[in-house]
Amino acid sequence: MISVIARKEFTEFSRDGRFRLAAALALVLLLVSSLLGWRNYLDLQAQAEEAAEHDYRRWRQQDPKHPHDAAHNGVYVFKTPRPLAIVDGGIEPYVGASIMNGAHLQGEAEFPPAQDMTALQRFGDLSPALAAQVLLPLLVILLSFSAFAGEREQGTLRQLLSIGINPRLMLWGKSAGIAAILALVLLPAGIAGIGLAASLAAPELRLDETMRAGLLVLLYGFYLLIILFLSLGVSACCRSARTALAILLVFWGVTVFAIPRALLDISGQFYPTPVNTEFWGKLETDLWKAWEEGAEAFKKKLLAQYQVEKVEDLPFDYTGRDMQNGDETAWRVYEGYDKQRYDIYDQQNHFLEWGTLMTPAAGVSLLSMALTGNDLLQYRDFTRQVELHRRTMNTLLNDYISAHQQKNADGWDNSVSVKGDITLWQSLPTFVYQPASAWTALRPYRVVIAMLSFWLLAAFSFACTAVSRLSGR
Amino acid sequence: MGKYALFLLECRQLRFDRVFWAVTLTFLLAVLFGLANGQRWADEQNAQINYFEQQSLDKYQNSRKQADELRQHNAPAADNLAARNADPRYALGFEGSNVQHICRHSSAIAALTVGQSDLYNACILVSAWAIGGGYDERLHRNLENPMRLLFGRFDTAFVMITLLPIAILILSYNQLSSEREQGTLSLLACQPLAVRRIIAMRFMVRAVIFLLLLLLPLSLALWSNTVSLNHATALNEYLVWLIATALYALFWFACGFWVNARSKSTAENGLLLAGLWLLLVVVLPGCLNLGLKQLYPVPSRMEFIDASRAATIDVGKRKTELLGKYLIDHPDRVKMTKQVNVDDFIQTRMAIDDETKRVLAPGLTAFSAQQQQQRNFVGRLRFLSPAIIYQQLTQLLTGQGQDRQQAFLDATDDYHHRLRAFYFPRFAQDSPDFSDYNGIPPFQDQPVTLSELWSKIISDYLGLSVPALLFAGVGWWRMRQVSIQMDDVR
Repeated sequence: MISVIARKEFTEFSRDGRFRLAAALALVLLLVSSLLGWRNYLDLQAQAEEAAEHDYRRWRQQDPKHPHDAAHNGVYVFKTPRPLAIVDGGIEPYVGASIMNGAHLQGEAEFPPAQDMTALQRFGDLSPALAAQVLLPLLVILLSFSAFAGEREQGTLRQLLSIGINPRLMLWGKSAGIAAILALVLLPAGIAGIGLAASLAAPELRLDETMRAGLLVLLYGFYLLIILFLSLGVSACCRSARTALAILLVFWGVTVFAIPRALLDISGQFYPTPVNTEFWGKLETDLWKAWEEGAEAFKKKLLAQYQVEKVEDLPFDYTGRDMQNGDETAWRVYEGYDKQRYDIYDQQNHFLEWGTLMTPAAGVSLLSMALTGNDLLQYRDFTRQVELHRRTMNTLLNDYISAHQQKNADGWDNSVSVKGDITLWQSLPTFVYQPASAWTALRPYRVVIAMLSFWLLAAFSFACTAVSRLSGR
Repeated sequence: MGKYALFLLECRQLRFDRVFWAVTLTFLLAVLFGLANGQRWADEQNAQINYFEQQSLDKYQNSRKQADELRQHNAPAADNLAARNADPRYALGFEGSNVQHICRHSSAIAALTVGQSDLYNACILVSAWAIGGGYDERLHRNLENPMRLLFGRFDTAFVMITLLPIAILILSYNQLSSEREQGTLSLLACQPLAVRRIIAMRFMVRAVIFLLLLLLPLSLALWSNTVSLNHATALNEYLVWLIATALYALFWFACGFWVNARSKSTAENGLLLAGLWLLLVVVLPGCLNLGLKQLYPVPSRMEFIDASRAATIDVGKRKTELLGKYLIDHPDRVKMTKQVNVDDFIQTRMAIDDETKRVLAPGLTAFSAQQQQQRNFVGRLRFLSPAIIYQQLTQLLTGQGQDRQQAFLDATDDYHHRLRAFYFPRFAQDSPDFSDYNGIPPFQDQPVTLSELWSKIISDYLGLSVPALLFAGVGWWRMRQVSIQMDDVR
């Protein structure tokens, strides 16, 4: 019986001009956004690799100079996009992918692309993820709003029930029919997407990227199933198709567009983002204070250790060690401020995570960003790796100064006489970002995954309950 | 039955329309919540601007005071670069201790939208040497949670652009079709007035009351929060925005009217309106955004970084040869000898600074040109979607958009060049008797005034009202056939 109903639904929709038009439009949008995203990905990847290679070459080939000069010139590092960025750019446009690793201060990502874009971006970047999160649920609603309510309006529901068909079998049959027609349209796109991600990924990341792509397809399938059962449940509850449609459209509009924004704005009221001037001003003050106190304490410690009165009397040059001590002091200050800032972001984002209880779209969006490697946590991981690279660089240069400073008639020359050369520059390893694995990326979102599972269960139970109460009236 | 009687009848009917009141109230709450969010953002911005402007003023007064005190005490002239840097009697020292933060002021009605302003810093440090010097740039990075930037703010503009059409869709999608489906259309047709007049009045009553219930509390809330709205400029800006909002809402009511006139089922009407909304508010702006990125791609920032680093490498080499970058970054360690005196050092630094700017100029010009192309593209194609027109106009009026930011950056650039032109000749022949304080060029921000925008405002009004009239006109024309189609329905 289930297969008969499923076949009937399948045939009906495959002949429905409205569905064919909507499905074709959704597919075209998916295809166009994927193709343009693909092109953009190839451009960005080539640019990032080229720029990183060029800057590192400049670093290696720089003229002999004081190592601290070299630290000030610094070296740029870039985040190479992952193939799945074609699907979902996540926060990438709002944070940027290039960081200057230099002296003294921790680098911040520069040039977020969003700053260079027009206000149109605020309508949403048309990407496969946007199509899947916004358009596909609408397609599911279009397919299912009249599943039971339409039968009721046409009087065929009473006939079906009167011949003893179990309403649950109808639910299974209708959901299988709708799922089949959606799968016919979307599954090839999903499989092609997994294939594309696998072929574009670097060999060492291919397995992880393929797994992420597969999970992404599963995630969106999961989401569409939630919407499907919800829609079928609403359709079974409503007396008319128009009421079912109105309820579902409002649900869609509110949960996809309004609630996620509102949640983040409310979270900002409970956990306000620090004001730029206060935060950076305080960091600057603390940094200078820590530098002054740290330098004084370090100097005292060395003088006591070597039992001399002036740093000039130390058996080695003080400059390199002083710089290293200053850098280590700055690391501690930055770590504290980084934690403070990201803790606030985390608390704000928890609202969105728990908001999944109100809207599955919030959870889907978070998991989609996590799987494509463009969520806040993986961005933080990237900046952390970059900072560790900067520390390696500065330690290398400071150690060189300590080891090579010369003493002349005037004492230790702490200005420009030490010069690093190509051997020193080449000893700095290139920066290679090591992205987290799919499982590591998903681990912080256990609550979200649990809530989405709850949604599926709740939607299914709702649909079952609603159909079990079906009557022809 | 006269028009007034029909109006009263529809008003009486509306009193019992629970869907209308529920939607209107919910929507009003969303608008007020949006306004509160926007106001909070505007307050934060203003606090930041006030802080920096006060700081700049304090710096100026302190520098003047310090210079006067040094003169009164006949303090000796500076004998090295670090001393000159710290001595406000010198042009170099005065400029260095008096670097100003220049701030972008938004309009008094900025609370209506956050717009693009959450992507930019409200204030920039500008000196004769640089705009947003390296350390300042790092220390004033935007701190907003990237997730909030991605999702956007729940401000009044968002509610109007995105949620208002949904509210109107719910209010209008079944005004005629439900009459048909409930079998009451024939009763309606028995009235002495044509059905289309009744339906048109129904739409009109709903539109007028909905807008009144929406815009009056909003205006009151804005008025009570924003004191400066008492100014004529602010009031005019608000009125222009109010008219644009009303036209945007009327466009969606007109869509609803047209969709009803097609004499299809309620479900089809709902789907068509939802499809229209999706097309105009989500798909079209998204496609245009994709299109403009393909047609007028801004030069990649990565390539820009790469090119800038390559271009400055020669300058950097000269810099290292002449001064050592180490000494540029640590002028306190410059040892002034007979070979390197302070004036030589400063003159060389200025020459290198000019050279660096010259090398970087082509890249920056290409970047600005392409951004301008993008803005022109959006400006030309905004008429494709009323949502884009409304968004652009709102950002223009509130000063929270990219145009305002660009005008501010241009004014900042101009100020920087005027500072250079004023200070550099003085740096070259500096002495401890710098006193031309009145000659220091002031920052001249020139935000576009409303009078300069009239042609754009009129075209935007036309862009909103012409399609609205078109939909309403076609709907009016099509509704002539309603009574004939009743037979088919039966």
